[in-house]
Amino acid sequence: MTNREILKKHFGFVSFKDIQEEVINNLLEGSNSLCLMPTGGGKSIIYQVAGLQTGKTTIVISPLLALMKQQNKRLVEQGINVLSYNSSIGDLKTQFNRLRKAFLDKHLPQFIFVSPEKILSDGYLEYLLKKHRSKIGLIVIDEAHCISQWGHTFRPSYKTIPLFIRNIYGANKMPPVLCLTATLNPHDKHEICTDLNISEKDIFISKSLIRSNLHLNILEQVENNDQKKEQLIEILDRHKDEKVIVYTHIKAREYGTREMTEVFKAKGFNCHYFDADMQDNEKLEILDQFETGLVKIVFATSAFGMGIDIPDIRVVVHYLVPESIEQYYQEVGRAGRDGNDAYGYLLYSETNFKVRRDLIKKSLLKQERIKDIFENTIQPTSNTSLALKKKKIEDEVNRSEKIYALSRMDIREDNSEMIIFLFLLQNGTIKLHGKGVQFFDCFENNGSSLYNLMKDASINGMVTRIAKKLNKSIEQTNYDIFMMFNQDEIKLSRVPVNVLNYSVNYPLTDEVIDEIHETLKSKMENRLANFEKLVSFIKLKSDPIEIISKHLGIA
Amino acid sequence: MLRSNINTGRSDFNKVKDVDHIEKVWQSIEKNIPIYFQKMIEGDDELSALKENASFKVKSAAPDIRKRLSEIFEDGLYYYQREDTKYKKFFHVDSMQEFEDEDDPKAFKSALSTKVPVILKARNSKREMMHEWQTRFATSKAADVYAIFFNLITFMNDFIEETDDKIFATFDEVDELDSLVVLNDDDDYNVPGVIGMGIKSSVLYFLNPQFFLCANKNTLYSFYFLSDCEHFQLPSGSNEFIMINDMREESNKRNNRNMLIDQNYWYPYDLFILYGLRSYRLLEQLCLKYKYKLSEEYRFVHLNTFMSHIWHMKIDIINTMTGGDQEDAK
Repeated sequence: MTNREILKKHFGFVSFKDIQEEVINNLLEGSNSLCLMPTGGGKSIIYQVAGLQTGKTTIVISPLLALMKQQNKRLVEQGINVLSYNSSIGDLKTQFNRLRKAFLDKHLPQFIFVSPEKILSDGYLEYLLKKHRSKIGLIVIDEAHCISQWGHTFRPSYKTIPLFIRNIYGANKMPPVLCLTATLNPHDKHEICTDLNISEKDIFISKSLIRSNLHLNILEQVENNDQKKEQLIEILDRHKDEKVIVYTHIKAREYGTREMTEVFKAKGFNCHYFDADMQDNEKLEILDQFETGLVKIVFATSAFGMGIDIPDIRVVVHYLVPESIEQYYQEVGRAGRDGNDAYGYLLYSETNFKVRRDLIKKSLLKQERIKDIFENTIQPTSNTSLALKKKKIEDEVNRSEKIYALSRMDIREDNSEMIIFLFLLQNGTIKLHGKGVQFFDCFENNGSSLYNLMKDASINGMVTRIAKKLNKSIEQTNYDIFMMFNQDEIKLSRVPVNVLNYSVNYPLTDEVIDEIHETLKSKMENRLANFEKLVSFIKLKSDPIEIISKHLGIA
Repeated sequence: MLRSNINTGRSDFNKVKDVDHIEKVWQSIEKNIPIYFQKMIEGDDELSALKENASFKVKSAAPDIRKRLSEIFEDGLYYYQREDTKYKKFFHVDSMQEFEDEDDPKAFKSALSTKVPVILKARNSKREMMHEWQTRFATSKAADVYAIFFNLITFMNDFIEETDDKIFATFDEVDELDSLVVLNDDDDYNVPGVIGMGIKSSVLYFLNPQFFLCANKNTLYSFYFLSDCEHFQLPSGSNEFIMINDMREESNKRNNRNMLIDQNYWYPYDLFILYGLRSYRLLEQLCLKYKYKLSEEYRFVHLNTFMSHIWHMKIDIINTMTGGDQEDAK
């Protein structure tokens, strides 16, 4: 089948748009590619057609549950075999069982959707993909701008994707990698291309990164929040019964998502909030209600952003100034995906600039916090209080060989532990020994000869202890566990805990702390500089379309 | 208690251990235990029938009350024993020794969160009041959590070794339970806002119900009703077994029903055990009237069973007090 035949058969289109076909052909020739297309411009079609054309499995790394759910649904409707390997199918026990079953079937799923966090932490996924690596035809990194450490949307797990690919393929031939995004400034573009080995000729940029149906307005500066509220009421009245996103960008305080929802509900508007504090199922529910029109206005943080594909959003209001031109572009890009006229309004006061500057400055981790993360999360030791009588000297000797485990439970919402972990990994302070499960006692025996040996090695089922007692490396122990599970020799009786196993090579010195702090500081300053750039454009009353075009280096 | 009263010079805490006050509170509890005991024997069916039809006549006690009591307390023991092995396995000396040998507080905290029912339930609770705790637990230092549980288990072992159960069973003054005071607010036994009396007492209860009663919503709300919801001239003018959070600066932590009433997490454990012991002795006598003997080994399991019946009898009122932000007490 030709690419066009696949497009027609599965997606009902007769021809490709924009640069879609060029990118597909480039991938099918085996080249890693970077593709920049506008939001709602048809990026997904590229990997869907290319993936089906390879006749193998496509791994799609996607940052949002809602986005994976949406794509999954569309592909399943076309009779395509898809697995979303995430919490939408159940807890980790269910996920392991489903993944195992999917890879036992004669026909592997044509598409597997995973989050970057899964890529980072899931040992069983890595075990299976390694085992079946020749059956993977394409790896897709959606919303690839999250890889850039310099951007406001940086997700530390994204940074580990190249490592993940190297772990799976080693020196073997790897399938092409496709990076998709709508926004990249030259700096970020360079970083992504270096990380994923993409050459200049393999970068494809849409001819129309800015849609002509978007009408963007920067409103008059106001003195205070009350005046801004009046501006918002006027906008909402003007766009009555249309779908509107209002970005407040913060959850708390009087102009956060929650309070604003309360205030506008009381004024009779049909609205709800959407932020990171909501449970996954609550988020999906609000998305559904917004999509079907049950809710018309959503007060959101940037959690309501990337990849959300609701075609008939007519208005995006920035109630708090965004952090950068990229963020502004990404967020206004939620509107008018159906091609009909859509509007963006940016509201601001001098205080808003200060709030945003403070938010950026506050995000910088202090030296004490870096030290604290190391002492409490990376290389924790117990408090020698009352009952704790430690063999200190012996411990000091053994410390360098000690294997630690980092789980999701150790990571705070702001991801600071992961940022420090990855930095220390990069500079050699810590060494990664692979991914596994934290406790073996989530398994029960189903005919394994090794099971009892492992079970007896630790009362609490600590896998690091089992490895030590059986005189095996942690890598080998994790491999044995996944192999036994895969061969149905052991079964899951409880929910496992995914962990990264690592050892600490060197103690954390003040020099390293300063180095980390300086690096983070320069990133924070870069964010501030990007923000100031946006502020100056706003104050100059520049045309927003012009601002975006200039910044992204597009015509 | 009122949250705003706690750190004032006229704090209720300064008054709750006064002998006169204790006696007044106990008089109410003592008066009410037989009433609730009778209601418990009569059973839920009659109670709900009475609710629906005011003219329904409660039957005189069933002839085989001994059998009814046996069903009630065996049922309570069944629920208890569904859980206690998990605690006994996790906090077993060999298990704790293994954690100590590994010296990995993160592994301990992770195991605690997934294997110890009281923590697992709190982490998975959908109650709005628990959301803040869930965040605090997630961000608490593993080393602190690790140390607190090691200290707690050491404390428990020492307490058991030093306490004769026969003497303990007769304690009738709060001073006699002085050795428990350390659990109230000593730094070695508390991670403020994370590991408080509710969690600590649950662990102790599931390891040794002979000595330790869990200070949870079952027991504290029951004492609230048993003490006639009275304040007994406490400075705050409110009952000591519940906590009303009236602090303005904490208003953004209110749940969406705008209610901040819950069991009193800060209730002194020594005093709590005193009321527990007195209540148990009374319960024991009431059972003996019907020739049903409670087992001393499971002293506080039986009391907790009785109190969970009170909780269920009063669930409508508790729901109103907490804006429906509750889960099943079992």
